[in-house]
Amino acid sequence: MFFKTYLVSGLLALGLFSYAQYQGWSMWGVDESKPQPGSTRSAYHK
Amino acid sequence: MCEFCKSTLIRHDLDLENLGKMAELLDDASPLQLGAEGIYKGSRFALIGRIQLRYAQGLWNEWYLLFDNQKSAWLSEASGNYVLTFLAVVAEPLPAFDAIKIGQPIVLLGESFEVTNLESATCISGEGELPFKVGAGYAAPVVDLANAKNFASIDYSDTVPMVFIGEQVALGDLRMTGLRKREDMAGKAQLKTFNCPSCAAPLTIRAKGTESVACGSCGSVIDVANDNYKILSRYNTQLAHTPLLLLGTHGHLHGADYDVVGYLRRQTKVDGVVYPWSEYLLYSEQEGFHWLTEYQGHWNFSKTTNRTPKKRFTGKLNVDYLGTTYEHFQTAKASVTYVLGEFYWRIKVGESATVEDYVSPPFILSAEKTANETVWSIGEYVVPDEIEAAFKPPQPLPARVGVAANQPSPWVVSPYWKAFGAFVLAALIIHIGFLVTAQQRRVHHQYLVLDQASHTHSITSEPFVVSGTGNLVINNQTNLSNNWVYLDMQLVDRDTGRQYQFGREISYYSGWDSDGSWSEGNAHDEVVLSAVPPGTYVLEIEAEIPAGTGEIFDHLEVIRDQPVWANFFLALFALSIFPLIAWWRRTSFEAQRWSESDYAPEDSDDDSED
Repeated sequence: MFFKTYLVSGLLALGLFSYAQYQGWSMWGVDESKPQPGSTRSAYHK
Repeated sequence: MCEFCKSTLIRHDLDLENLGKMAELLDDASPLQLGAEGIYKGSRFALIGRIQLRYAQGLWNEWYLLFDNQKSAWLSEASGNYVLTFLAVVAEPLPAFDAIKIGQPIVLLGESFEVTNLESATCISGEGELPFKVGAGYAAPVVDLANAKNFASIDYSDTVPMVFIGEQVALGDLRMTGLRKREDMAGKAQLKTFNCPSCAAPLTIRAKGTESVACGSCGSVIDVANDNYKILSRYNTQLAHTPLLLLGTHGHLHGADYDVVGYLRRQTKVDGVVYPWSEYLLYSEQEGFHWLTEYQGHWNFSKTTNRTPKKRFTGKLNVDYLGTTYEHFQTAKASVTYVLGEFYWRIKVGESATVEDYVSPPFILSAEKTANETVWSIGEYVVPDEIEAAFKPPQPLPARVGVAANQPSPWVVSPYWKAFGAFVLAALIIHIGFLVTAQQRRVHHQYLVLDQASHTHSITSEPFVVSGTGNLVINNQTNLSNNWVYLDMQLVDRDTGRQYQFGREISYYSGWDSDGSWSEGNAHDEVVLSAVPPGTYVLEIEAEIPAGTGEIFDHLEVIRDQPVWANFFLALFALSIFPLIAWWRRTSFEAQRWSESDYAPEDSDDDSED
């Protein structure tokens, strides 16, 4: 049962991967919100 | 041997000499009889004679065979095990019987054997045609030897020892005809009842070949080889145990019918901890005696074997048996603490043996070593449901605790890794397909000069056309050095007015300190906008730079449909989760299995799992 679940999940993962590549999704892309500038800059910069 | 008057006649050409009478054969469970025929390696043979031997623990038969080509052999029969051997003339010198030790290697016909049994037996009777005279019986010191393939015995009853070499055989493989009829055997195997000579409790003998019966009422173990019913030993009845399978229960297991005829409790003691288990002796007319052992709800179905597994020293003591390697699990001294019912040897409470267990799930090989013999048995793990279905015990069988030495792991990892390999290959092909077919086209680039005014007056790029599907990657390559810039960007679809707003902070610092050079941040920045629809876009940029900073140069580059490697690695990670879980569960299962072995880590606990 666990193995069958893996086979189904694996196929779904491959499908999702293909769709993500087609759309150009990136985990490290940005969303459309805009961070407030200057909030951490003073602590970050030397 | 005259079967009517039991006289031994010896043939001298045409004359017969009468050597007198000999003892009656004791009735046993043998399905063989004189005149039965069979085939061994393509040659037909017939059983023409038999001798019956008694040893300390019971009886066994040696059937004399004559092949069509006049060649003779012996078929040894003990507790349902059969060994067919031929007389061999060996060149190797044979040690004296008294000088032989259990486990000693002896070479016969260039083949190495190991001594498995030393028996000072007595031939008590015979029938049919035999190549020697039996008379009133004779002492028969016998040495049994075995290796992984063959069996041998050395008979020291004559002045010159005789060597017999052969192999273990199954009665079914000999395609025998003329065996004792099942009805005859059944008729003779009717229950025999008698009263315990100690407490007069009624006792029953169910199996042919029974040598001793243990009385559950008074704890006497009674010799039932003859009608004298001598008491062999007693045990403490206050330690009484109730068998899970009742004696006399009939069941069908692994293709044969069995009766539960005997029950005993054994135990080992390791580091002061007692580990008890139960053993049930099963008797089948077809299969002889088998054992069912139960430890913490785990069951094994086992039988003795005349083959001696070959030992291998590969860091750990392992053995090879019929092409399979068995790993050493534990060695312990086991002693009998309680007996009930009937047994094919003269059992005694307190008798002990050194037990070596080797495992290759679902099988377990066990060697029981005493001063006189080494007995190997092969067992197979049986789930409790199968035992319940076969013997229908009055109470539900206890739930399994922990992991048994030879319990098959429910987690077989190799299919997961094979599937994982296939998935990785598929993901790689998909990824390469996107790498090859992706546009990866620069749709816009522009050199920007950022200064204090860029914060209040945004810069708007030239319009650029984006086509097809995919992401949009925006690169900013600046000449920052020990400085920062914040870019407030907005991608605007000129046709629909849709906006993508995002902010990027770019900074790069470097220098020297007591540890050497250091750097922090990056003058280059890349941002990916996912799934940007086709259209004509402009980028509006507001830049914030530190006060007092002059101009910062920025090369802006916009790329359409750039494949994302991170998705590929993310897919690999996702695909590996199930195999890793299976591997972890299997590893945990194996750790639990070996936690009760001689190879348990010092800090292993007794965590249990059903």
